[in-house]
Amino acid sequence: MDILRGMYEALTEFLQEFSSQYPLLWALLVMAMVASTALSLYALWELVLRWAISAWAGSRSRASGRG
Amino acid sequence: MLFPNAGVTVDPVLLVLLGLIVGTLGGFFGVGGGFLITGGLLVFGVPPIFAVGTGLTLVMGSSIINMLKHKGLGHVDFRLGLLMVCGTVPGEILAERLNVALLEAGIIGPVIRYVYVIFLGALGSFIVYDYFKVRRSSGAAGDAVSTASLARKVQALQIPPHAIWLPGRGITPTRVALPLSGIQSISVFVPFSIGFGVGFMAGLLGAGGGFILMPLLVYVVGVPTVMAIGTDLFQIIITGSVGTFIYALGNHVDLLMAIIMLAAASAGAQVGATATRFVEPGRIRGLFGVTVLSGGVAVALKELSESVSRLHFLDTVAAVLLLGVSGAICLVIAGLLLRAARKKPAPDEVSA
Repeated sequence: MDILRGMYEALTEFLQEFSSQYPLLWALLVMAMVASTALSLYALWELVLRWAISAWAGSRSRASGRG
Repeated sequence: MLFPNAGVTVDPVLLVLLGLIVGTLGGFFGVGGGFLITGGLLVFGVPPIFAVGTGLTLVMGSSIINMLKHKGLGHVDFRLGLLMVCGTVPGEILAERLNVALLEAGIIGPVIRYVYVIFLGALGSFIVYDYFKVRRSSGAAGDAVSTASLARKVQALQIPPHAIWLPGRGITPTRVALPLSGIQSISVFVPFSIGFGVGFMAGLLGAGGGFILMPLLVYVVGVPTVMAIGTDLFQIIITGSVGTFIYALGNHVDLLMAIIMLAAASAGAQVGATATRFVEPGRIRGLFGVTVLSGGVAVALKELSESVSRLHFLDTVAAVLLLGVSGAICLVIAGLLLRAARKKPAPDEVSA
């Protein structure tokens, strides 16, 4: 728990200092972070949905095979 | 939880809920949801400038996810999107100049709110009217709209010059085919002008412009509803990115808040975008009309609260109304998706 709190405090300090000291780099960092997070989340959801659909299709074909 | 850039404490659960609503509506209607996010963040106590900046950041991120999702479904016409983007940037620059002039005259707040109320009210009323008119005449909620003849006229418009010289391509005709949108031939100046108009309105109102572009593409250009939704999102990525960069440069974006909402919006986007495969296009437009109308009522209430000192409470009523209606529409979308998925396979699966 202490490790998490320490990480959160370090992140808070970094965000506050970086955004006020380097405005241009901060703007680029914001755009890069948002774009990369969006791409990663899209890829993650695609994998999850594909896995869920194939699992669902597999269970249906097994059920119809038994029937 | 304390958000260091905005310097406020907000319950992350509320941010997750707002992100879910924005993602669902964005995927279903092809809008960025800027007006909804800003309204929600203001209710949560976020300072106005951070509400707008963080809102635009979320618009950019959620539009990327929604656009990719719609691209996977074959709902994005990049050629049409690129033609419109060419007009969007000059439109935004012109609006920026007008905003400065209005700011100097000290009338920017009421002007923007009046334009919002008139625009959202008229647009929402027309979409709902069209939905009922088409439903009465054809009995279906398909892709037919009451302005089909107008769209045919717009597609047939002959705008000079009919050919221009382009470096590397020589003399090039200014009429193009947009097969993905079902348009055999259209002047490039039509999407360019639409991009310009949407860029101007988006810059004037401080929004992504999705709520203007989607109906314009459907009712004026004659683009099928689902294709308009996907292509619209491509355009919003550009306007959202420009806004994000400007606000981040002025240190008015809370990155942590935006990332939390984006994670939730990515889940909502799966529901919203997938629902467009199953729900009839007419019904999508009808629900969009209701959302836009509620946005108009919310802005009208906000204007009332600003002008009459005794009615300050209407400010909160407006935000709660907007979030309440949007949340209810998300539940309707989820319900329609479940019902339609149980009843029949997706239309593209049928045609395949």
